Amino acid sequence: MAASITPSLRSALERLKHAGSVNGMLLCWRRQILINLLPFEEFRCERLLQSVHDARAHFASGGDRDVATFWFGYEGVFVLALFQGECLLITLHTHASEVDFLRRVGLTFLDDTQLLVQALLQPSPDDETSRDETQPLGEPGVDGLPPQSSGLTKVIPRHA
Amino acid sequence: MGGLFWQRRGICLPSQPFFETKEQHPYFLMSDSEVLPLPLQLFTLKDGQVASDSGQEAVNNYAADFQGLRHFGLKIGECLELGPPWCGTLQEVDFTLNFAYFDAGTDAQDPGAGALIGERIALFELLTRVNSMEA
Repeated sequence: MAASITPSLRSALERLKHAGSVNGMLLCWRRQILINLLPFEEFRCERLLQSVHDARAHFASGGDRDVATFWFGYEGVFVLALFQGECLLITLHTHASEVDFLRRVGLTFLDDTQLLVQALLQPSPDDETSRDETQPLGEPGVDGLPPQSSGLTKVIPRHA
Repeated sequence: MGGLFWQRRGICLPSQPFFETKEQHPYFLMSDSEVLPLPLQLFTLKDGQVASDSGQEAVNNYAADFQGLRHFGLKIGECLELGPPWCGTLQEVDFTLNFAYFDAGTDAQDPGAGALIGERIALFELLTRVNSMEA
Protein backbone atom coordinates (compact mmCIF):
# COMPACT_ATOMS: atom_id res chain seq x y z
CA MET A 1 0.00 0.00 0.00
CA ALA A 2 2.82 2.35 0.86
CA ALA A 3 4.14 2.13 -2.68
CA SER A 4 0.75 3.16 -4.04
CA ILE A 5 0.12 6.27 -2.01
CA THR A 6 3.54 7.65 -1.14
CA PRO A 7 4.34 9.31 -4.50
CA SER A 8 1.44 11.72 -4.10
CA LEU A 9 2.22 12.37 -0.44
CA ARG A 10 5.96 12.69 -0.67
CA SER A 11 6.04 15.98 -2.51
CA ALA A 12 3.51 17.50 -0.09
CA LEU A 13 5.50 16.25 2.89
CA GLU A 14 8.75 17.58 1.46
CA ARG A 15 7.17 21.00 1.07
CA LEU A 16 5.95 20.78 4.63
CA LYS A 17 9.46 19.94 5.74
CA HIS A 18 10.57 23.35 4.52
CA ALA A 19 8.00 25.14 6.67
CA GLY A 20 9.33 26.97 9.70
CA SER A 21 12.22 25.43 11.58
CA VAL A 22 11.46 21.81 10.71
CA ASN A 23 14.41 19.42 10.85
CA GLY A 24 12.70 16.23 9.76
CA MET A 25 9.40 14.38 9.44
CA LEU A 26 8.16 10.83 9.65
CA LEU A 27 4.80 9.75 8.24
CA CYS A 28 3.37 6.45 9.41
CA TRP A 29 0.24 4.36 8.96
CA ARG A 30 -0.53 2.11 11.90
CA ARG A 31 2.91 0.81 12.86
CA GLN A 32 4.43 1.10 9.39
CA ILE A 33 6.63 3.87 8.09
CA LEU A 34 5.24 5.39 4.89
CA ILE A 35 7.71 8.23 4.34
CA ASN A 36 10.88 8.86 6.31
CA LEU A 37 12.41 12.34 6.08
CA LEU A 38 14.23 12.20 9.41
CA PRO A 39 18.00 12.72 9.56
CA PHE A 40 18.48 9.44 11.46
CA GLU A 41 19.19 5.82 10.65
CA GLU A 42 16.22 3.63 9.71
CA PHE A 43 16.36 1.52 12.88
CA ARG A 44 16.19 4.65 15.07
CA CYS A 45 13.11 5.86 13.22
CA GLU A 46 11.54 2.44 13.63
CA ARG A 47 12.17 2.55 17.39
CA LEU A 48 10.83 6.09 17.55
CA LEU A 49 7.62 4.99 15.83
CA GLN A 50 7.15 2.09 18.23
CA SER A 51 7.87 4.27 21.29
CA VAL A 52 5.29 6.87 20.28
CA HIS A 53 2.69 4.18 19.70
CA ASP A 54 3.57 2.62 23.06
CA ALA A 55 3.08 5.99 24.74
CA ARG A 56 -0.37 6.34 23.23
CA ALA A 57 -1.27 2.77 24.18
CA HIS A 58 -0.07 3.40 27.75
CA PHE A 59 -2.47 6.30 28.26
CA ALA A 60 -5.31 4.50 26.47
CA SER A 61 -4.93 1.38 28.59
CA GLY A 62 -6.58 2.85 31.67
CA GLY A 63 -9.91 3.61 29.98
CA ASP A 64 -11.17 5.62 27.07
CA ARG A 65 -8.36 8.16 26.86
CA ASP A 66 -7.22 9.05 23.37
CA VAL A 67 -4.05 11.12 23.33
CA ALA A 68 -3.82 12.81 19.94
CA THR A 69 -0.68 14.88 20.48
CA PHE A 70 2.65 14.45 22.21
CA TRP A 71 5.21 17.23 22.29
CA PHE A 72 8.61 16.89 23.93
CA GLY A 73 11.43 19.40 24.24
CA TYR A 74 15.07 18.27 24.22
CA GLU A 75 18.34 20.12 24.14
CA GLY A 76 18.07 22.08 20.89
CA VAL A 77 15.15 20.24 19.31
CA PHE A 78 11.46 19.49 19.85
CA VAL A 79 9.58 16.34 18.86
CA LEU A 80 5.91 16.72 17.93
CA ALA A 81 3.82 13.58 17.37
CA LEU A 82 0.34 13.93 15.88
CA PHE A 83 -2.19 11.13 15.57
CA GLN A 84 -5.13 11.38 13.19
CA GLY A 85 -7.16 8.28 12.40
CA GLU A 86 -4.67 5.49 11.76
CA CYS A 87 -1.95 7.88 10.65
CA LEU A 88 0.87 9.40 12.64
CA LEU A 89 3.09 12.33 11.76
CA ILE A 90 6.25 12.98 13.76
CA THR A 91 7.94 16.34 13.29
CA LEU A 92 11.31 17.50 14.59
CA HIS A 93 11.58 21.27 14.86
CA THR A 94 13.80 23.85 16.51
CA HIS A 95 11.60 26.78 17.58
CA ALA A 96 9.07 26.16 20.32
CA SER A 97 6.91 29.06 19.19
CA GLU A 98 6.11 27.28 15.91
CA VAL A 99 4.52 24.25 17.51
CA ASP A 100 0.90 25.33 17.19
CA PHE A 101 1.37 26.29 13.55
CA LEU A 102 3.04 22.94 12.84
CA ARG A 103 0.30 21.10 14.68
CA ARG A 104 -2.43 22.72 12.61
CA VAL A 105 -0.59 22.13 9.32
CA GLY A 106 0.25 18.57 10.29
CA LEU A 107 -3.36 17.73 11.11
CA THR A 108 -4.51 19.04 7.74
CA PHE A 109 -1.86 16.94 6.03
CA LEU A 110 -2.93 13.87 8.01
CA ASP A 111 -6.55 14.43 6.96
CA ASP A 112 -5.49 14.14 3.34
CA THR A 113 -3.33 11.13 4.09
CA GLN A 114 -6.21 9.39 5.80
CA LEU A 115 -8.47 10.08 2.82
CA LEU A 116 -5.93 8.53 0.45
CA VAL A 117 -5.53 5.49 2.67
CA GLN A 118 -9.30 5.04 2.94
CA ALA A 119 -9.77 5.38 -0.80
CA LEU A 120 -7.13 2.72 -1.38
CA LEU A 121 -8.39 0.31 1.25
CA GLN A 122 -12.09 0.74 0.56
CA PRO A 123 -12.73 1.87 -2.99
CA SER A 124 -16.17 3.38 -3.38
CA PRO A 125 -18.76 1.02 -5.01
CA ASP A 126 -19.73 3.85 -7.34
CA ASP A 127 -16.24 3.86 -8.77
CA GLU A 128 -16.39 0.12 -9.51
CA THR A 129 -19.81 0.41 -11.16
CA SER A 130 -18.91 3.36 -13.30
CA ARG A 131 -15.68 1.67 -14.34
CA ASP A 132 -17.63 -1.37 -15.56
CA GLU A 133 -20.31 0.62 -17.29
CA THR A 134 -18.05 3.02 -19.09
CA GLN A 135 -17.92 2.26 -22.78
CA PRO A 136 -15.59 3.67 -25.35
CA LEU A 137 -17.23 5.86 -27.94
CA GLY A 138 -17.67 4.26 -31.32
CA GLU A 139 -16.52 5.65 -34.62
CA PRO A 140 -18.21 8.94 -35.51
CA GLY A 141 -20.99 8.79 -38.05
CA VAL A 142 -21.12 10.53 -41.37
CA ASP A 143 -22.10 13.82 -39.73
CA GLY A 144 -19.06 13.68 -37.45
CA LEU A 145 -21.11 12.98 -34.32
CA PRO A 146 -20.83 9.86 -32.15
CA PRO A 147 -23.37 7.12 -32.88
CA GLN A 148 -26.57 7.69 -30.88
CA SER A 149 -28.24 4.33 -30.96
CA SER A 150 -25.71 1.97 -29.36
CA GLY A 151 -24.21 3.82 -26.37
CA LEU A 152 -25.66 5.21 -23.19
CA THR A 153 -24.60 8.71 -24.09
CA LYS A 154 -27.43 10.73 -25.63
CA VAL A 155 -26.21 13.47 -27.88
CA ILE A 156 -28.64 16.15 -28.93
CA PRO A 157 -27.44 17.73 -32.15
CA ARG A 158 -27.21 21.46 -31.98
CA HIS A 159 -29.02 21.95 -35.30
CA ALA A 160 -31.61 19.21 -35.55
CA MET B 1 0.83 67.93 25.29
CA GLY B 2 -2.08 69.49 27.17
CA GLY B 3 -5.51 70.34 25.81
CA LEU B 4 -4.91 74.07 26.38
CA PHE B 5 -2.12 73.98 23.76
CA TRP B 6 -4.53 72.76 21.05
CA GLN B 7 -7.38 75.06 22.16
CA ARG B 8 -5.13 78.06 21.65
CA ARG B 9 -4.71 76.96 18.02
CA GLY B 10 -8.46 76.67 17.51
CA ILE B 11 -8.50 72.91 17.49
CA CYS B 12 -11.39 71.32 19.29
CA LEU B 13 -10.52 68.22 21.21
CA PRO B 14 -12.90 65.58 22.51
CA SER B 15 -13.36 65.31 26.22
CA GLN B 16 -10.26 64.31 28.13
CA PRO B 17 -11.25 60.67 28.97
CA PHE B 18 -11.07 59.85 25.26
CA PHE B 19 -7.31 60.07 25.44
CA GLU B 20 -6.88 58.34 28.73
CA THR B 21 -5.13 55.00 28.40
CA LYS B 22 -6.72 52.19 30.29
CA GLU B 23 -5.00 48.92 30.98
CA GLN B 24 -6.86 46.44 28.81
CA HIS B 25 -6.67 42.72 28.16
CA PRO B 26 -4.61 42.16 25.01
CA TYR B 27 -6.95 39.56 23.51
CA PHE B 28 -10.50 40.75 23.91
CA LEU B 29 -10.18 44.36 25.06
CA MET B 30 -12.06 43.50 28.23
CA SER B 31 -11.52 45.24 31.50
CA ASP B 32 -9.57 43.43 34.19
CA SER B 33 -12.70 42.46 36.06
CA GLU B 34 -14.21 40.82 32.95
CA VAL B 35 -11.18 38.70 32.00
CA LEU B 36 -11.72 35.04 32.80
CA PRO B 37 -8.51 33.36 33.93
CA LEU B 38 -7.59 30.03 32.36
CA PRO B 39 -8.88 27.23 34.59
CA LEU B 40 -5.37 25.87 34.95
CA GLN B 41 -4.28 23.62 37.74
CA LEU B 42 -0.65 24.31 38.50
CA PHE B 43 1.85 21.92 40.07
CA THR B 44 5.41 22.23 41.26
CA LEU B 45 8.07 19.56 40.94
CA LYS B 46 10.81 19.47 43.52
CA ASP B 47 12.97 16.72 45.03
CA GLY B 48 11.02 14.14 43.06
CA GLN B 49 7.69 15.19 44.55
CA VAL B 50 4.63 16.87 43.08
CA ALA B 51 2.88 19.60 45.05
CA SER B 52 -0.16 21.74 44.36
CA ASP B 53 -2.94 23.75 45.95
CA SER B 54 -5.49 21.78 43.94
CA GLY B 55 -5.85 18.94 46.43
CA GLN B 56 -4.44 15.48 46.92
CA GLU B 57 -6.58 13.79 44.27
CA ALA B 58 -5.48 16.27 41.62
CA VAL B 59 -1.85 15.77 42.67
CA ASN B 60 -2.19 11.98 42.41
CA ASN B 61 -3.78 12.18 38.96
CA TYR B 62 -1.20 14.65 37.72
CA ALA B 63 1.70 12.63 39.15
CA ALA B 64 0.52 9.47 37.36
CA ASP B 65 0.31 11.25 34.00
CA PHE B 66 3.54 13.13 34.60
CA GLN B 67 5.47 9.94 35.33
CA GLY B 68 4.11 8.24 32.22
CA LEU B 69 4.80 11.26 30.04
CA ARG B 70 8.33 11.68 31.34
CA HIS B 71 9.03 7.95 30.95
CA PHE B 72 8.05 7.98 27.28
CA GLY B 73 9.85 11.26 26.76
CA LEU B 74 13.00 9.54 27.97
CA LYS B 75 12.38 6.57 25.66
CA ILE B 76 11.87 8.80 22.63
CA GLY B 77 15.00 10.74 23.56
CA GLU B 78 16.96 7.49 23.76
CA CYS B 79 15.75 6.43 20.31
CA LEU B 80 17.23 9.53 18.70
CA GLU B 81 20.05 10.09 21.23
CA LEU B 82 18.57 13.43 22.26
CA GLY B 83 18.96 12.94 25.99
CA PRO B 84 16.23 13.46 28.57
CA PRO B 85 13.33 15.82 27.83
CA TRP B 86 13.20 19.18 29.61
CA CYS B 87 9.51 19.57 28.79
CA GLY B 88 6.65 17.39 27.68
CA THR B 89 3.00 17.82 26.76
CA LEU B 90 0.15 15.48 26.01
CA GLN B 91 -3.12 16.59 24.54
CA GLU B 92 -6.50 14.96 24.11
CA VAL B 93 -9.67 16.44 22.63
CA ASP B 94 -10.61 18.11 25.91
CA PHE B 95 -7.51 17.79 28.06
CA THR B 96 -3.97 19.14 28.04
CA LEU B 97 -1.18 18.37 30.50
CA ASN B 98 2.45 19.38 30.53
CA PHE B 99 5.61 19.64 32.59
CA ALA B 100 8.81 21.62 32.26
CA TYR B 101 12.03 21.58 34.18
CA PHE B 102 13.72 24.83 35.00
CA ASP B 103 17.32 25.61 34.11
CA ALA B 104 18.79 23.56 36.96
CA GLY B 105 18.52 20.26 35.07
CA THR B 106 16.22 17.49 33.87
CA ASP B 107 16.78 14.92 36.59
CA ALA B 108 13.78 13.65 38.54
CA GLN B 109 15.01 15.56 41.60
CA ASP B 110 15.42 18.85 39.78
CA PRO B 111 12.92 21.68 40.18
CA GLY B 112 10.22 22.22 37.63
CA ALA B 113 6.54 22.87 37.18
CA GLY B 114 3.53 21.52 35.39
CA ALA B 115 -0.07 22.25 34.58
CA LEU B 116 -3.24 20.60 33.41
CA ILE B 117 -6.40 22.01 31.98
CA GLY B 118 -9.67 20.42 30.88
CA GLU B 119 -9.60 21.75 27.36
CA ARG B 120 -7.41 21.85 24.28
CA ILE B 121 -5.27 24.96 24.32
CA ALA B 122 -2.23 26.22 22.44
CA LEU B 123 0.81 24.15 23.38
CA PHE B 124 3.23 27.05 23.33
CA GLU B 125 0.99 29.18 25.51
CA LEU B 126 0.85 26.46 28.14
CA LEU B 127 4.61 26.00 28.08
CA THR B 128 5.13 29.73 28.47
CA ARG B 129 2.75 29.79 31.41
CA VAL B 130 4.55 26.93 33.17
CA ASN B 131 7.97 28.40 32.47
CA SER B 132 6.89 31.68 34.04
CA MET B 133 6.38 29.87 37.35
CA GLU B 134 10.15 29.77 37.79
CA ALA B 135 10.25 33.49 38.43
